Amino acid sequence: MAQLIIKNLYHKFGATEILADINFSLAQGKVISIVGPSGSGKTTLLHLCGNLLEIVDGEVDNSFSSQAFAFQDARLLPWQTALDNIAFGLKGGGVAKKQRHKLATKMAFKLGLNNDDLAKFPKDLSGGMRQRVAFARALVIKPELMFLDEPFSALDIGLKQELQHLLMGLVVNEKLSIFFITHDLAEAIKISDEILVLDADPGRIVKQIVLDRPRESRDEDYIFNTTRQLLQDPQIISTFELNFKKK
Amino acid sequence: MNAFINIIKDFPRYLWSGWGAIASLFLFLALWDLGNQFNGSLVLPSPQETFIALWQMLHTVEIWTDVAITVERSLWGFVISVVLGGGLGVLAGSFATASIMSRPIITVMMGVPPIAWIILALLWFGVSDGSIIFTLVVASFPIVFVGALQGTRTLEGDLNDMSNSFKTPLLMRLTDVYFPHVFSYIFPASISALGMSWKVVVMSELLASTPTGIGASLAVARSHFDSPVAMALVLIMVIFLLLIEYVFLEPIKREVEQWRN
Ligand SMILES: Nc1ncnc2c1ncn2[C@@H]1O[C@H](COP(=O)(O)OP(=O)(O)OP(=O)(O)O)[C@@H](O)[C@H]1O
Ligand SMILES: [Mg+2]
Repeated sequence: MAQLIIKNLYHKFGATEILADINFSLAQGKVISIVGPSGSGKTTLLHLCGNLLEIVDGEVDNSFSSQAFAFQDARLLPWQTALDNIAFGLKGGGVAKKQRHKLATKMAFKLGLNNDDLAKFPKDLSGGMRQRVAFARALVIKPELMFLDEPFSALDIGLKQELQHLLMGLVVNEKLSIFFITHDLAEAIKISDEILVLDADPGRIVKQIVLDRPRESRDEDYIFNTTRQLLQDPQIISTFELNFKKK
Repeated sequence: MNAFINIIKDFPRYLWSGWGAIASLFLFLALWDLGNQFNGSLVLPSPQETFIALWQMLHTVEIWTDVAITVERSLWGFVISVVLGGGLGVLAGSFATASIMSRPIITVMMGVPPIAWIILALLWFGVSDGSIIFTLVVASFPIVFVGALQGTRTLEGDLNDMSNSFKTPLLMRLTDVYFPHVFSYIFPASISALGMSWKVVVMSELLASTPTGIGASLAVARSHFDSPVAMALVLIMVIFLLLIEYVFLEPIKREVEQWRN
């Protein structure tokens, strides 16, 4: 079975230590979420795992056959319409124009975009639309592993919920694996098998939370209670400097 | 293809939007006529005299051959500039050292006025089309070169990472990721280069005293103190530039740059 294994991973930008001694693994059909303060190195970790940054110290072993990214900044091609942006990965994979436009349109509709939006250039899309276009571009190539960097941060709660369900459906039915970054604890609790808490300076995993309850049976109460429980955890309080904010 | 259809489709609306430009042209004509009333016809022939001279001129064969020759020269200069400037600019932009090294050379090339280049070209190559085209290239090439260089230097690593993350083949990276960005720099630079070569060509023709071209006719008009004819020739040059700019380039520009803010 395909998996992503990270062993003793360190990373520096210049002289600054960004990540230290990261170890974890992601198996097929699982969702792992990274939470942590801004600047703790989540995006850097994702880029290292996805082989977008050179690994200097440590090991990343990725045996998934295909992967796709939704970047924190959407990274759309400004000179292509939303439709062509969504179809970008398909085009690279050699899918004929008609077919890839069909697939891209279908995916866009699923994410609540309409034909009007698809004809627009990125500059004329709203932030949330841009985010969905980037998300659709990753989804539409049907990867085995997805790297999602705060993919829903600009969406309203309704859309967010819808897309979370869409993802969870893919995890259950298609054995999709997800490396998920979020600032939303409740979101992490809702969709993950495991949550890693990254503390800053240097970024290191200070807590590992395994969620045993099957996703289907995580109701509002469970999510709410678990979130509250986590927010009272001393480790989390110190990581996010929650005491500071109370003063 | 789609882009082409869009250009044609938008054309009537585009023309309609030209009323403002036409109004300002008429204002210009009025000021011109005023200038004539103050200074007399020898210094500044009236618009009327000029248009009569222009009308008569357009009925001769010579002017058309002159225009054709001048257009041909400036097009050669322009095309060579774009090909050379675009190609070398992208090449230099791909390497940090090359772009740093090319800067001073380009500054020198741009710093030497075209009028000096034509003199040098005449000394080196004698009176020939070659001298004129050389001057045009030297004057216009740096503009395109700098555009291409900047376009290449500012290619975004983020978009490159994105396209790599999809395992995009090289050819598609060129057409979909790199080219549109670089082109968006080369295109406006090329428009400036075209204007440059159109202006410099006439000057070169005049200084090189070639027997043909608008510049040559201008020299003749000057020696005959024929201001209306000189003015009419200037008008021809301006009209040509306006035609190229607004009928040809501007619609293309709108189409290819509609993704810009
Ligand atoms: N290319 C780079 N060069 C130098 N420093 C960088 C670079 N990229 C990121 N950093 C630094 O690394 C640290 C971690 O950045 P990163 O983007 O991984 O944080 P993050 O956890 O994703 O934050 P956020 O939640 O705000 O997105 C920051 O201090 C940032 O300044
Ligand atoms: Mg980040």
